[in-house]
Order: sequence, then structure tokens, then C-alpha cells
Amino acid sequence: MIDALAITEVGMKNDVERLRVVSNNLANASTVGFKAEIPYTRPFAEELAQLMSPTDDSPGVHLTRPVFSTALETSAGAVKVTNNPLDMALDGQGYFVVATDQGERYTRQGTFHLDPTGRLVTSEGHPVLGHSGEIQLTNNAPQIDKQGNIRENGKVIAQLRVANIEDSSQLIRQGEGLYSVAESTQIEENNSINVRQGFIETANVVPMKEMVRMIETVRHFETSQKILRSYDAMMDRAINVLGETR
Amino acid sequence: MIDSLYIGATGMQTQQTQVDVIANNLANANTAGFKRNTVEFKDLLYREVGAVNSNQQTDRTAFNIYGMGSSISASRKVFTVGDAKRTDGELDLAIRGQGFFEVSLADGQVAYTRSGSFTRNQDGMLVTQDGLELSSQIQIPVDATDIKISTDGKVSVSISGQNSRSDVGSIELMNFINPAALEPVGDNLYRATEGSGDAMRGIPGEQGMGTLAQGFLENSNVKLVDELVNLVVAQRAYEINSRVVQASDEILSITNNLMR
Repeated sequence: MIDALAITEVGMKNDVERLRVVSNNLANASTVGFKAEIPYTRPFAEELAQLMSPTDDSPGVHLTRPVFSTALETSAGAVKVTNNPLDMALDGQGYFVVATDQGERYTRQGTFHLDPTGRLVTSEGHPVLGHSGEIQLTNNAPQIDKQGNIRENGKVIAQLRVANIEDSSQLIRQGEGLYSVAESTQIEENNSINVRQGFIETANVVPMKEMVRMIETVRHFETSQKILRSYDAMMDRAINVLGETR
Repeated sequence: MIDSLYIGATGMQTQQTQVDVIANNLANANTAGFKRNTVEFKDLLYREVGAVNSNQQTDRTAFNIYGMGSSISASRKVFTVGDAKRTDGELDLAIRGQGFFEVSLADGQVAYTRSGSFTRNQDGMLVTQDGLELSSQIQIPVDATDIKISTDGKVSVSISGQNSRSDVGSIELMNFINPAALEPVGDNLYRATEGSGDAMRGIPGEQGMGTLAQGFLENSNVKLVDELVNLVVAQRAYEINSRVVQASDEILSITNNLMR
């Protein structure tokens, strides 16, 4: 009897998480360089099997992976022209490399500007890295070509680093448009990059998909509610009618 | 209550700010020297959901951290050059390229402006339409006619009774490493901030500084088509986020009705 309640409860909790993912995608539909999340769940049978079979070194019931997970949708967002010389978009694969207090981070959000000392930084103030470290500019309208070479008055002063991270499941979201990777992940420098100056990459959120997910989720939640209520009715009957002692 | 309710609300708030900024840009589409604002969004910091087993280390692995909506990361001015509008005003100056005029405020501090619509005050000093003096301190003699301002800022006049023209001063421009961080204080004026870097003085036309064009005024750099497209997008994004809030409400209502 308890199985059905537990199953429905898991289903309903997953629906709430799905809705959270959908709402986060839609709230960031205008965030430059944002990558949508795809929600997915493991089948309940798998979960139950795992719960019932503890391993030797850690006896007891435990979950080794959460039931509900998300994957990153890495397709490119549409590119929008802004004519701002410090706005950059990457055509194709690759991530810009920025330096933070916690180490190197990667991002597709190319809305850069200059800090008071002339360093190229992101919206949040993290320095953007080139092949020879931080990039120092003297004016805010350099020429940047497809390979990421930054020229001022015709002279190349730096080249943007664009990192290639093949396996998107290695990317860990840090918020504010940044991603980090685990220590052991291979980062290759991208040699076939295409940097577009004066453009930004819009979010790759597809409102249609998210709306459909939202409708599915809410109706599924409603269905689960009906199952719970009919279950409740059955137990009510069993206890109060069948079990009547008078 | 459930996260998606708050996340939908952050989405609506950010789109609301976007609409406000667009409205301000459109209201100033004809203001000489106005620079349009843009808004940049960012996704909010994530929270972790730890593994059920307390023996395991709660690593920030790829699948247990979640997003909590969006917020505004920056609202900055875009300093692209607006089109020059011909006015034939003797004291109208447009800066073709980078740079700002420096003017002195009543409290002794300085401010910067792109709006080059100047006039003479009762002492003959070159002032803005609000009466603020140019820091370059140009004084035009009372009986001067035919004021000419060259592209590199030299002001010369003809005085009746003299054959050759006389120089009365030179207008210098100021530039910043990061003009987008200047603080707008209204009346087409900007103040320097920490983020903009120090003001660098220069002669118009030298070292990247823009040149002066007499008889022209710089239009705003607001592009109507871009603003309207952004407005449509913002409206629809606002609407879709409101649907998320509605869906969350429905889910909460269903939850409440589990128990009759």
C-alpha cells in the first residue's frame, strides 16, 4: 500500500523540480550567453533497485545519484548585433577564459568592458585572459579579428584565449554566466575559433519547449494528485467500512 | 513555497527594468548628446542539493547545483557617436569621435558633457545653455563678430577695426579609459567615478581625441528600431515569466487540495 504513495510523492517532488528548471530557463531568456538546462529523471524502478541493494563498504540505504538531474543544452544561441566594440560572441564551439579568485572560469557571455586601469574585464569585473595573461588596452574601441587578435592602431597587443571543452557534462555552473571544470578535465586551446566583435550571443532558451514542459508538468502534478486522492479514498473505505467493528 | 514562484518573479522584475530603460531611451531619442542605456542580465548564484548519504562529500558536481533565476548585472551607457545634425549655430559644436567638454559647476567641481550647444554669458564667457562655464575659459570680446572654431579647438574672432583675426583661446577635450562608467547626473552632464578612470586632457584631433565641428550638434545615439525590437522581446519575456508564476500558483493550489 505504501509503495503507491511513495511513488506518487517522488513523482510530485520531481514535478516541482522540473518546474524550477523551466522557470530558471525562462527567467534567463534574455541573459547573454545563457545555456538552458534540460531536466531529466531516472526511472523509479532503478531508484528502488539501488535503494534495496546496499554495497559492502557502505551498508544501509543510500542514494548515490539524485533522482532528478539536469543536463546543459549547449546549442548556440542566436547572435545579435550591438555595434559595441567590446561586445564579443563566439561563432561555434569554445568558451572565453576569465580569471577569478577561485581560479580559471569559462563563459560565453561576451559583454566586456574596461576597468579604470584599462584591463579587459567581464560585467562582474573578472579579467578576461589572453594567451599572455590579462589584456591591457588604452582605448575602448580596439579592432578584434576572427582569431581573437586584438589590435590597437594596427599593432597586435594580445590574443584572446578560447578554450575548447568537448564534454559538456564536465561543466559546473557557478552562476553569473561562469562555468568551472573539475581539476582533471582536459582543456584544449581552440585553434579554429571565430570571434565576432560587436555581437552578443543571446540565450538558447526556446520558449515553446519550456511552455510545453510547463504544461506537461502541471498536468502531471494534477494527475498525481488524483492518484493520491483515490488512494486516500480506498484507504478510507478499507478502514471505515470494511474494518467496522460494530 | 516552491522555488519556481520566486524564480518567475525575478524574471518579471528584470524584464520590468529592461522596459524602464527602453522607455528612458525613447523619451530622450531627440536629446542632443544623449547616450542610450543598455541593461545586462546575469543568472543568479546557484544553491547545492547535497547527496542523501552524509558520509559522502558534498561536491559541487555537475548535477546537484541549481539556478535561482536572473538579475541585473549592469546598466551602462553606450558611448557610440550619434549622427551630427546641422544647425548653423555659430556656437554649436559637435564632437566627431571621442571626448567630452569639461564644464565647471556652481560648487567648484567639474562635470563632463557631449552636448555642445554653447552661448555667451554677460561677461562674454562661453557657457552651456544652463550657464555653466567651459573649463577652457574662452572669453569672446563684446565687439567680436564672425566667431570661428577650428576642428582642433582654436577659437578666433574678427574685431571691427582690425584687419586680421585674433585668437581668443583654445577648447580642450577630456577623455576616459572607460566612459561607460561615468555617472550621469542629468542635464546632459556626467561626473567621473572610480570605474571610469582619470580624465585625460587633450587637444581635439590628437591622440585619438575627436575633432570639433562648428555649426553642428550631435544627435542622441538611440536607434528607434533597436529599441522597439527590444521592447517587443521584453514584453513577451515578461509575459512568459508571468505564466511561470501562474503555473507555480496552480501547483500550490493542487497541493493544498490534496487534503479535502
